[in-house]
Amino acid sequence: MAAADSCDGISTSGGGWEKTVTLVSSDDARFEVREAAASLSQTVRRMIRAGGDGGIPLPKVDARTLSTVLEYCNKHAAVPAPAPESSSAEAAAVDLEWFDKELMHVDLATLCSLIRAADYLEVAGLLDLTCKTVADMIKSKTAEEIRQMFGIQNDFTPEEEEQLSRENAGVFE
Amino acid sequence: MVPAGAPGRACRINSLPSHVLTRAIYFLDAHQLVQTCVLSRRWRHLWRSFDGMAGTWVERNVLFKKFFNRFLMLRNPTPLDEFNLCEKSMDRKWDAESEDANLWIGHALQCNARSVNVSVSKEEGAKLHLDPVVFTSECFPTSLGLTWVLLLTGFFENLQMGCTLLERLKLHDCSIYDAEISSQSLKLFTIEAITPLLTNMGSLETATVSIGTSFYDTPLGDICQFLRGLSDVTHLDLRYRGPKMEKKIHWCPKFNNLTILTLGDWCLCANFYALIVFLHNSPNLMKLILKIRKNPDTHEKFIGELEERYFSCEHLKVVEIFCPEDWEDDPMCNDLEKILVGNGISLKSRMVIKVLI
Repeated sequence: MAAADSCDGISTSGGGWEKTVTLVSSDDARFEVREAAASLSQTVRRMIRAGGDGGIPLPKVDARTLSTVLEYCNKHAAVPAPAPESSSAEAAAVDLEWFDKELMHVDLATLCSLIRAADYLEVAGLLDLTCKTVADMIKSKTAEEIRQMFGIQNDFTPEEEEQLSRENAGVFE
Repeated sequence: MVPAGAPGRACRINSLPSHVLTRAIYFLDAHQLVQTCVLSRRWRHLWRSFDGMAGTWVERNVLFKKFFNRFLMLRNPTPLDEFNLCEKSMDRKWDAESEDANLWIGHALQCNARSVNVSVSKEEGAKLHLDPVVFTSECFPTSLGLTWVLLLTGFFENLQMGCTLLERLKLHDCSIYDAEISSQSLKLFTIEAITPLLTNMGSLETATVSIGTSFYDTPLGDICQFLRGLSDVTHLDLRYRGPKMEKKIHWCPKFNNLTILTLGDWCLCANFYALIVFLHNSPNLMKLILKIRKNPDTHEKFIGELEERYFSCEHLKVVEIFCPEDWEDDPMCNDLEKILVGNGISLKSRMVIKVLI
């Protein structure tokens, strides 16, 4: 975990000067991030504009989740937009897709934390990625399997359930 | 933080806010979506308010038809963004299938769908018969795409009356049994068909048209009239497949607004006949794009001699040519450059040659 105790400023990165910001998780871990990456979060972007010192507090995101979110932001912000027809653009897209896939190899609790964080931080790309992962988990499962997987209580009354199955008769069979 | 070893307990999917869950089920197709309605009361409510359906390509079979009709009935009438109907193929019961499709398209329009696409696979014969009545009531699509669909008399009139915001109309391989197209709102128009008459197309900016057929002849008068209907466009992509034309210049109207023109190898036939005619009639052209697959056929589409071979396109600065690898060495390529230079065209750079794959 890259918890850096540094204030906002300018630092070198790959031979160039880049502006960074410091984000502070709910459990007080500090992350120094390139502003371009942090700005993928609309919430952070607004806070950067608002100004202030001592780092940007993110009280709803713990360090473990934040580090994953930032891993996503760093990767996605690093990609410049090359000409859409060039082969390097294609390679970059494949690489990014691979990265996203790997990032989603997490347990359900972590996935939930990531969804909450992406929603709170307003990282649209990550929210779509995590939501799509949930959708993929639902695909090709029966209702009972989905309930078990997600811990959903079946709260229909027996009468309602009968009505549902009547309504859906001929639809799924 | 969630303690390790207790996944799914402290932070269940079900505890996520509804707007996030709705976003998740947005990625499901319609069939899987309804599967989630039996999970619990909350989930049942979620999919009822679902406003996605974008990108949902509807496959069809008897089972699915039942399901989809129910889906449309149960779904709250929330606005739709996009409706895509993709028919694998029409079987012999095409009239019944068309009826279902018309019902669905009508529903999508009532839900204020902005973009409607109907596409039938061409492998099997029958086309989808689109009922013109579907478009009678006021609806708000800005984009309509139809592939392998049969359009009956009255379709375009209803479209003009009902869909007053329609800006993009793309027709691919449609049979058109309607004589006239008229629109005050259309900006982009794509058509590959026997040519109906175009009237009052003043708003049109971009047209992609493929006219004539190689099988039988469209009366030349009809083609001239059709082209006149396009004479106000700024972007024109034209493919021409026949019939033979006389080498006179007068069949082609003036395209005074035209800035970007795309033509195929057919325009090189008979000593660049059609190319010269179009350049002669496009005084404000800025960019010419030629898509060349092969050298034009030896049997000529154009007969007789062109008397006037001059044109004046003082704004023409860019010529892009998409062609096979070796075409650049073809004498025709050289001749083409000579004609342009001979008519006083001074290109910003040499002709840009791109190899067609």
